Amino acid sequence: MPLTDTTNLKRSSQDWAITFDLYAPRAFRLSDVGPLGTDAGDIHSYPPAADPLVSAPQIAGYDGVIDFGSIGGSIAQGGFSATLTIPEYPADWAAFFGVDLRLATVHGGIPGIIGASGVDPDTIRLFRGYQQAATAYNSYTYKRSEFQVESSMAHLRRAGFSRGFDFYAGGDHAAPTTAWDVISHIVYQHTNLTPRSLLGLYIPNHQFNSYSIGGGSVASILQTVADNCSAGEGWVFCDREDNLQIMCSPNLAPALHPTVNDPIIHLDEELVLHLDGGGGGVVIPEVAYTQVGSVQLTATMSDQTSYATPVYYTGNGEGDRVVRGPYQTDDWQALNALAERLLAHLNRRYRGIQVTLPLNVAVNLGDCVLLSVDGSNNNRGITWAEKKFCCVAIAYNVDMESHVFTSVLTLDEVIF
Amino acid sequence: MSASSYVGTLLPQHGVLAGAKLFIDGADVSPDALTPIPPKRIGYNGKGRPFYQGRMRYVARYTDMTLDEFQRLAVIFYPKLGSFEGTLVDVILPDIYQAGRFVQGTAYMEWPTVTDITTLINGVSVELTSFRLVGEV
Repeated sequence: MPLTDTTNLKRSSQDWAITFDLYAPRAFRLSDVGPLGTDAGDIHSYPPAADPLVSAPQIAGYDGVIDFGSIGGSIAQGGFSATLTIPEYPADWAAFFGVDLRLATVHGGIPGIIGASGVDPDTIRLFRGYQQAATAYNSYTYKRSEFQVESSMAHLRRAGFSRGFDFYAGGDHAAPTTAWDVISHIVYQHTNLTPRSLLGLYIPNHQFNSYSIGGGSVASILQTVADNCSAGEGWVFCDREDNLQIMCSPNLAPALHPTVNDPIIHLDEELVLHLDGGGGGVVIPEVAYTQVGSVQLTATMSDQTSYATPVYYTGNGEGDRVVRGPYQTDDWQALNALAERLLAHLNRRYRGIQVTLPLNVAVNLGDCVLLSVDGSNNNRGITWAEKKFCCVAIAYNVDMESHVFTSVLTLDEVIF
Repeated sequence: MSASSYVGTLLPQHGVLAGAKLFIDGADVSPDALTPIPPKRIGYNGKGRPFYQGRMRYVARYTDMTLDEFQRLAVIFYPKLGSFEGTLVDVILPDIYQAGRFVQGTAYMEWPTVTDITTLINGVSVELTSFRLVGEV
């Protein structure tokens, strides 16, 4: 995929409008594990009834929203959220109705972002989600309803398995061959998340001859599997398109990351409005070294190769004192390579770089971007020429009154 | 989605346009003054160049207006409020570079302040927004 053509984005006169479609509610269903560990539960159908893929919105161009609150999402948050404010209470809303927020942009009289990577040139999707809560306010002269809209991650957090999964040869859940098989079985066979949302798998695909996991919410189970495969740094989140992405920092699995070798946009100084570390001033932060002295792998089982990975800190090392492991795989070489990358990843220098951009660009959570900074424009004299970062959070600042729209990307250093 | 309703740099950025003509569906409702309002500046990029956001607007100002005149104007304007389609307002700009050039837009009318049944305190303003040049899609 080529870099986004930012020529039009740099035009100084801009205009925008948020377009807003309502589409079919989500009928999320989960098929619990049976009492004997079987796929079919007592009362639930297996696999769960499908949630039909809906292509056309039920209400196109809905314009009853008077405020959007803060729109944003992050990998840590697991997806996007926004609060829609609607005057009075306009209709009988179906529970979990779908919401598609899009942004139409005009740059110097030219609509859309021409040549943007992977997005509609007319509008950019801010995010797609589902209503999770409704609150009515009966204030004098200002009756309104607020709808909390979130990515499908909210469904995955609420829905839980009462029993765990035991994958082993001869069991009801047959032995998986890889970590991706475990995740695919849970998502495709035990939930009806797809086909409305797609599943992206970008974590190391470790070999297993058996795998066990306890009950809990779908989100926590997927997080556990992702952590087991990516040294505790697994990312489980819904992106702007509401697709479930399971990946990890590109520092840990650069060969698997979809855009680490193909960044989607170059954020140079002509495009960036503001750059800081979130502290208020124009500061490029540099974190304290974690000072990991060594990462040691210890086999605890001989047949099922399960490794605990103690992280030893040197001296008075500062920073996050993370606990890692155990990881499970049948391939010790893969774990060795992962441990090497973990050491480098924990010592990356630049995290939480916040870049303010006018309007919105085609960056999604987890995407890699290039950032250039001239040394004369920051107080530390740092010069970056197309330095690679990974986007871990996006916040859209929408001011309906002053009609100003800016995006703030939070970037994390990519060292490979 | 009428995302193309923006002429940006094609219109003068400041200054009162005395002598501008304003027509709605052929009826002459020329104001006493027509003031272009530029978009809001939201900041500068790393190279020091400003970014502007928002719509180019015109505010048509009618002073010394009687209530009868206001009602005549309101009858013309009100059906146009909130509409985004069609030929709504034609503006003939007096600027030498813009002369004879028609602009279509959407009108928003200010609610007037009334002292008695015949006098408006401050006249009334009409805000015109979402411009595009005639012939531009």
